[in-house]
Amino acid sequence: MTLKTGVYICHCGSNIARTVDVKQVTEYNATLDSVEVARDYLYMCSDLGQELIKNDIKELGLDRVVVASCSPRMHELTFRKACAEGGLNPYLYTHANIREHCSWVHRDGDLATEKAKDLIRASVRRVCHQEPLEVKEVPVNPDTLIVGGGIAGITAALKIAASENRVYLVEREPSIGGRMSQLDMTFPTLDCSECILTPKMTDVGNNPYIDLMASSEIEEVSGYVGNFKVKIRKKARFVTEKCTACGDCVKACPVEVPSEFEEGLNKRKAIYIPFAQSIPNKYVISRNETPPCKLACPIGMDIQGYLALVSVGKFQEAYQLLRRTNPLPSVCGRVCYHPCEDSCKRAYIDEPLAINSLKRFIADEVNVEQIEVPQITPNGHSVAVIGSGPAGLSAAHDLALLGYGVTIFEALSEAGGMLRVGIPEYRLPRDVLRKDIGYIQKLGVVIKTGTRIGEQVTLDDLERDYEAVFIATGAHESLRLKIPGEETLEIIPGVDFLRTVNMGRKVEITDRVVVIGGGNTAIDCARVARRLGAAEVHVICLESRDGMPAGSDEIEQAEAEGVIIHCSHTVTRIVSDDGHINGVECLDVRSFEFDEEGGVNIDTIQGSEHIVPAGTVILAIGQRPEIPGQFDLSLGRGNTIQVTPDTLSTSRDRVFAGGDVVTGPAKVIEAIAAGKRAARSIDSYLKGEILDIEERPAPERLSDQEIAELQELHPAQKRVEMPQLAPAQRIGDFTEVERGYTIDQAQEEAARCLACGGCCDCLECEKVCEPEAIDHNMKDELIEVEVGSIIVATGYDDFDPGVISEYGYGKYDNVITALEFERLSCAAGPTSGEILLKDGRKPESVAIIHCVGSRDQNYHEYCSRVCCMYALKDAYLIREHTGAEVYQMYIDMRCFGEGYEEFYKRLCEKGIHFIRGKVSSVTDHALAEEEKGKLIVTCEDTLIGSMLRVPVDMVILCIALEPRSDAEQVARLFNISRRPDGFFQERHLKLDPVATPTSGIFVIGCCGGPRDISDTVAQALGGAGEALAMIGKGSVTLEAAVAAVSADTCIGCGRCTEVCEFHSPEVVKDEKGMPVCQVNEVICQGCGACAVACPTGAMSIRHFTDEQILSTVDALVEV
Amino acid sequence: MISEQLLLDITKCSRCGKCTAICPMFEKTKGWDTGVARGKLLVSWGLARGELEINDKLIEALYQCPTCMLCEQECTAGAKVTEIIREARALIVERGASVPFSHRGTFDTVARITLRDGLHRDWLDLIKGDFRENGETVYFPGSLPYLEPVLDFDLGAARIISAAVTIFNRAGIRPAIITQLADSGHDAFWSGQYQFFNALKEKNSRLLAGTKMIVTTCAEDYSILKSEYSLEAGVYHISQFVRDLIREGKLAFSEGAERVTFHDPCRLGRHTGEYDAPREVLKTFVDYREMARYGKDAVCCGVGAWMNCNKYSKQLRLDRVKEAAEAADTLITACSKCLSHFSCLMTEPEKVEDLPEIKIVDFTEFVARNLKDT
Amino acid sequence: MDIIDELIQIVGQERASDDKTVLYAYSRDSSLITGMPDYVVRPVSTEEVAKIVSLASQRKIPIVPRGMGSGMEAGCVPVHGGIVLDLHNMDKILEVNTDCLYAVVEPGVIHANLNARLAEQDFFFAPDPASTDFCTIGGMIGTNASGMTCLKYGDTRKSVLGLEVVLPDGTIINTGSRTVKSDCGYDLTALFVGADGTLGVVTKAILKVIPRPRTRATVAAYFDELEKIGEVVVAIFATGVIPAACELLDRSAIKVINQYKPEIALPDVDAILIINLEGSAAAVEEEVAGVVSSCKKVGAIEVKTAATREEVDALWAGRRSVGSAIYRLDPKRASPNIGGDYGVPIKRLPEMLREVRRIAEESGIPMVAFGHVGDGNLHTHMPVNVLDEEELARAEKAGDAIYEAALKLGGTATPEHGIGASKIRWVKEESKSAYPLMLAIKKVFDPHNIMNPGKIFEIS
Repeated sequence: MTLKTGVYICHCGSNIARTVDVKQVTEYNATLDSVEVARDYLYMCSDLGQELIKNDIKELGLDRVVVASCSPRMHELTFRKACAEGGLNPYLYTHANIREHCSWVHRDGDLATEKAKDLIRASVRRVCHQEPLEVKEVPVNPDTLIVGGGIAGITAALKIAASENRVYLVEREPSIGGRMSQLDMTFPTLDCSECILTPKMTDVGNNPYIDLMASSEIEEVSGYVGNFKVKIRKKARFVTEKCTACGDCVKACPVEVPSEFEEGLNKRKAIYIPFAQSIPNKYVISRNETPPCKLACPIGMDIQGYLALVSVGKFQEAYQLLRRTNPLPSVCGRVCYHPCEDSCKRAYIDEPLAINSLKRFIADEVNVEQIEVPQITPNGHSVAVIGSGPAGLSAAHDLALLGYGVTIFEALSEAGGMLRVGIPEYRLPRDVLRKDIGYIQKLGVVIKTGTRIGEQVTLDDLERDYEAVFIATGAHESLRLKIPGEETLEIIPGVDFLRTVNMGRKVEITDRVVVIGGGNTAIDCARVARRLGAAEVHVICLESRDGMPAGSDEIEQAEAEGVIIHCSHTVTRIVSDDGHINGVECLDVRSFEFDEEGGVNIDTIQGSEHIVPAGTVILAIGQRPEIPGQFDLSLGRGNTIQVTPDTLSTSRDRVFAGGDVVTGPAKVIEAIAAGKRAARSIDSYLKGEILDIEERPAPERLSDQEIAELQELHPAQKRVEMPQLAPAQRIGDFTEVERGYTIDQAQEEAARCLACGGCCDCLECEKVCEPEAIDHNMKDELIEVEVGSIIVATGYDDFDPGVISEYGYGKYDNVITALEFERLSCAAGPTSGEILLKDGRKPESVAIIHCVGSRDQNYHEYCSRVCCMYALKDAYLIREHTGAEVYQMYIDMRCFGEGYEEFYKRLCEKGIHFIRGKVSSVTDHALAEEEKGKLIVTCEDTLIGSMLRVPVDMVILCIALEPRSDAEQVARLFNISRRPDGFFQERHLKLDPVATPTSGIFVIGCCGGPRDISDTVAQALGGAGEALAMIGKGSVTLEAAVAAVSADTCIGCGRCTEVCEFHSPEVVKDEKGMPVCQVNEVICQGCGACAVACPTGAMSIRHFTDEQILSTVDALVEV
Repeated sequence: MISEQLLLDITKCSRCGKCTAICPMFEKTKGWDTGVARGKLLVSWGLARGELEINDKLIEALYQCPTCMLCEQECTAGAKVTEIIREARALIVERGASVPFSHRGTFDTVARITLRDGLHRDWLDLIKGDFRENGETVYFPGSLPYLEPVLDFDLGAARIISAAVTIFNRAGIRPAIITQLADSGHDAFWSGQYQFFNALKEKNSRLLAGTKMIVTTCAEDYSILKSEYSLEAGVYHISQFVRDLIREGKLAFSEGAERVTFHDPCRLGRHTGEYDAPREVLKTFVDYREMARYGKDAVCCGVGAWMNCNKYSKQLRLDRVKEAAEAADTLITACSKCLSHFSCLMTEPEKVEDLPEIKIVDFTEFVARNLKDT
Repeated sequence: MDIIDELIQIVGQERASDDKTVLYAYSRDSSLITGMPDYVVRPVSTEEVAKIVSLASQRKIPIVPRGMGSGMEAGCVPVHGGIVLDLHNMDKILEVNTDCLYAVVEPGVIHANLNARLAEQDFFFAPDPASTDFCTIGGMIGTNASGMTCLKYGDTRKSVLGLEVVLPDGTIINTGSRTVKSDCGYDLTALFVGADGTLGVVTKAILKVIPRPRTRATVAAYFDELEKIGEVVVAIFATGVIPAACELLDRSAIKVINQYKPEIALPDVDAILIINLEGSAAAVEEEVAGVVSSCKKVGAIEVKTAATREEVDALWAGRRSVGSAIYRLDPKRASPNIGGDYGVPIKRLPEMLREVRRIAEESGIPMVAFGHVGDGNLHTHMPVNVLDEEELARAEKAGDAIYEAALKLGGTATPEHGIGASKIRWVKEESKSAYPLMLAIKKVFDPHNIMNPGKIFEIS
């Protein structure tokens, strides 16, 4: 049966008729077969035009319609509706674009007319192959998601909520308000920005239909228009709903970081609220990654915490914080090898923080004996500890706190192990050690001195009487050198030498002493020998200078005390005659390395033999544990006890071991760490639980870029020197060499801390928070919501003017951005509204430079639309508050809005100097007298045609508004695209500015392009309108032109599933069990990618089938 | 037009149903009776007698068939089923029906490209070996060099042609490769586009005039050149050519240990009766094994003349590949249709359940690869 | 809602059609009779069949059950239009219980497939029609098919223990039982078998299956006179032997076969008898001896025996290729089913064959006769140019003449191919007094005459 087609050709006023002879085209079309009627009309899109179509369908019984007019993007929907109203299936109509594709682009009338004929003929051929399609309705979820809580998001949320439909408002920052909350006055009415914004914010806070989620981000979006599924990550704020925003915690918080809200112009605490009127009106704790010092510390002390407390003078709280992790704070303050300082970020700028000295300061500031011991409830279990060294004491301390009855068995007469007998008095005074041990005894720990396990008491006795035993006997037996003369002569073992001196007993040494060894023990022996009056003390060690195991500051202090250190030497023989030592023979060492069994092979330099004269030889090349045979434990290398690394359990049941006895001689803090781990292991073993092992990643090195940023932020400032005893006084005197910081020194040093971790877990805020709203263990929360439409209102970023070096931003203090000026002029800002220079003076002259980064080929070609107006407003404020001269360097004054021009007129009468020209540079290099101490702005004044040099005190840069740095990820998240200028792409510039090509997702405010507050609010209301339209209708019509697969030609190869970005096609088994493809028509966007990829031609797009497209092509080439 | 004799041929079919037990496609589709030879003859009869109009079921009946001749070979009545179907296809093409080629008719368009003199792809630089513009012994590539860019997997067209040239050279012959040679017209002929076929035949015959010997590597090209062209030159399939060279002692092979089996392309086997040549060649240098169904009973790859590539023929190929995997590690075939469709199947291991591990190699390439290097 | 939409609702889009091309493919079987159906449906379950039949009975439109459509007498041709039920998708073997000697199958199961399945336990389903590779059990039941071995094991009816049938009003009934013997009221199973689908649609069948004979042997005897065939058959029976198969090729058949496949090289004699013997080894040996002696006694020119597989096949090659040989005689002439299936008492075989030769000469159409001489069942094939009306009419007249001659000799015109539509005339003539009773039974089962109308009876 032949089809009856109606062809309607539009004049579009003169747009088409000007070049295309519409009459001739209409007659030509009437002749085409299957064309029943061809008409032309002035405006087909008008009601009368559409009536033509409707009537013809009814009267002539048309079953196909072709309309030739403007682009289908403009009126395809209009004509589809007209056909439907006429009783014809809307998909039996097609459109020929004879305006943008023909009349607008051709001047030659004849050619344009011929082309119009071809285009329409092609549509007529195509329309014959079109089939009626049913449009699907999909129910719409009435809830809406709004991303971004700036003025745009707020306005849209309130408007939708007013219709009593639920809105989820997700804001990344801790409070809504966005950029507008940072502004001072708004143009042209000079309303205070916060005065007009905060009422709206409070409405959002109180509105029952708005589910506000601050500090939250969108993780994943799936689904389709009307039925989106959104995963939202609510980041932990560490402050619960109970917070009443009373602000007590801020006073208690010791950590200060630059305030983002104030654009870094002043600081805020780690627990803070962005600005007073923040909504939600709850405080939040900002927490960055774990600081590197805490990661490097073997027992993970909250270093940043106690440094911060010191800087605010809270020494008691600082000590409590030390105690939380360290059982021997005073001891550590003096002898720890402080690995934390090696990883402190400050080292990239100048010198690391003096963490260890500050720890000692805190411990000294407090009288340990007056510290009350926390309440302990005994749990009825008892543990025995062998050895009262750092490992044993730490284990006992921690077990006691857990309620265990602990008894320490110490072989020597006094407790402390290596701390007591190994480390000399001038490094670790006896009373300091005694006080720390005293505190542990106050916890109920019993220390039995003078009882060596194996004599009075055996390990079996302990196993019987106690539920667990912890062996921490350290490593006290000196290692031998195995060189000639070693056995026969009395070589003094280093450890014994120190023990005798430390226990106050006499030891004979000659005038010249040689100490063999490079570790702390060797250095201590040498310095003790100096103190005992030895005139000449030599230290001979294998290692090179910086290879020596001893601490660098101890080596320096030893050299200061006259000790002579021979590095890279080895002692080959002890020289003596008839039993008296008179020296040692040594060789120079090129290199050496240890082999697996602990032996060493040394590469010596031939012919370098020489004798070092000495009467006494002290051997301090290392120690190893002595373990009594009857313990019968399986031993490892170097006579150490073998343990499973995580639980420290030995080969005997319920017996644990830790410290130097397991690792061989190691650092004090490592022994403390072993003791603490043993305590946790024993506790979980006795409770039958599984020990959870905390992993702490090693701190990473910073990238060069991060280092540069650090150096830029913080000016260099050397470490505060530790006062020391003068070297001369140290001879013959065991008083402590390092004198310790004064309060001012300590606070000055503590202030250098960069607060890398943000909140430092000092828990001071928790102590002062009455409503107990603070919870440091809060975790992120992942929730999923279902919404019908999504409104993106993610705002904009400020252009960083630093890249334009000519303007000197970052180089000169008084070159500031417009936003920084907003904070300056704002009454709640850092200067409470005083417009001041960095040095506090009032500016006498200010230059305001327009179009910084805007209307600029190198950065952004677009105009940021708002700068001219706020520049005028700033000029007005400066004149009012300071009376300073104001120079505005502009290209064009764009005052297009309502009341804008009038505001500009008023400003002209205020005596503001308007200079029409692009500023070339800002410099402080004065050429004339009056330019001294000023910033000279050079620019051309195009109106008078000459170059100017304008000296001013302050320069304000009107910086461009640019797309967010993460706009690309956000665009991919919501499946929307971006314009060349980087902002989100709207569906149609004129007719559909808020929708996007992805149906159901809308874009409002500055994330779609720079605009002022009034335009943003207008767009927000538009976005709300779009959402409410969908909600009102309750369903959304889906495009009918989607993919369709013919089941029998499809071979289920799945190539279409690979190319579809909407995951619409899926391979399933048909009734005969053969793989065949199925299309989810609701998700399909009709883009056609699958149809192209399909090898067998099974996949086609309805309304765009091969037949239809090819018929158009054939028609166009028809001659 | 369906000739009087063919009409009589149709009457011979008493619809006894023997073909329903043999047709590999019907066993898969299990659909209407139009899916098997007797139904197709009946609808051809209805069409010829004007009792049936052309509709998509008729087109499907005539075209959903790889014309593999298995039914014709067993038919009690001896009806020339494939010829009748082809003539019926020609009838509806004449009456304006469009041929439902698989793959959107891409390969029909490729053939049309080869027909136009101006348009041809200069693929000679891809070919390795010693050959010349023209001469008495011609290697006929057909559409093989044009397939590569269209398929999205590696068919190895250039490798196959180079292999053929290597074999020629080893036998001391510099074959002529005439790039203007068009598609052999096999697909046009078997899809019923006689007009298009005659144009191709005329062009090729003109170019091949005066030649003595024509060798082709594709079974379809061989069958059409042999049965429908009237060339004075001798037409050989590469397997026959290689067999003769071996007999004349001109080719020597290195012993291969692989277990190899051969899939008889229906155009080489049932259509033209050549079963032995490929076997004789393979047996000389490899551990040759027969599949369960071979020779005249070999089941087709389901896709004669780019027709009928659908989920049913895909199951056919899967069964055929499984059958081959039971007998050997490598499956050799000598037709570009079988090769491309078996290779395509092997590119989807993750989507096709229990796809066996087996290598698919073209006969010519396999022979060249195993030549003893002199 | 019109019928095609209701059918689609029952079986789905893919398995119901009213497309003219598809219908055309269901308008014929192996006979010369044609008829266009209105709809074609491919059900896959009894429920679907029941729904379709009840729809047909409401709308009073004919239902035509069809297996693989290889029937010779237009049994499944929709002579009165209506819905063709293509049952070949109901092809599941539901149960195989060789211990109890039965198997349960759906109607669409192909005979060869069933035997392949049974062969795994060394069993088989006795009736073996020549179309074993493609005919369905449902079709065999409809036409009560038989084959070469029915001499020994009986026709299909003897091997059907029970049925599930959808009656013309859509209700489903079960007849018979799984036991080898059952005698529960009237034997309705036997009634349905051979009813050419006029009483109901068979949707399940319980079949008797028997163990395969261990050994098999073949004897071929050549005779110079046709008459001797009758005598030899009687003689064989007289020795108490019931051969598994006993086939005859007359001179015309021998000539045609030799022309088609010269390599078979049958001797140029008046008639050849080929006899199969099956059973235990000892029994077969004895029977072979008995048969050989009988043939010699009656005066066979030559008697050959064969035991191995190849020898048996060689003897049977001729008989198997007789069907194809006729088509190869003349490119213009096909071999329509005219005068194809008739039977006479064994003794009268020679007279009948003489009569056939006479009719052939008279009609000028060369004829070939062969058949299962063991049960007196003969077939005749004749090459006819079906496009030549005159020749076709002449052939059909000759066909009727053959059937009349058979009746005159006390034989039958409907021995094994069933009645369908092409032998309606002979049912009336042969059943004489029983015909009205049969009509009455049909009316009881199918009052609206929708179940395969125009078959067996012509009810106006």
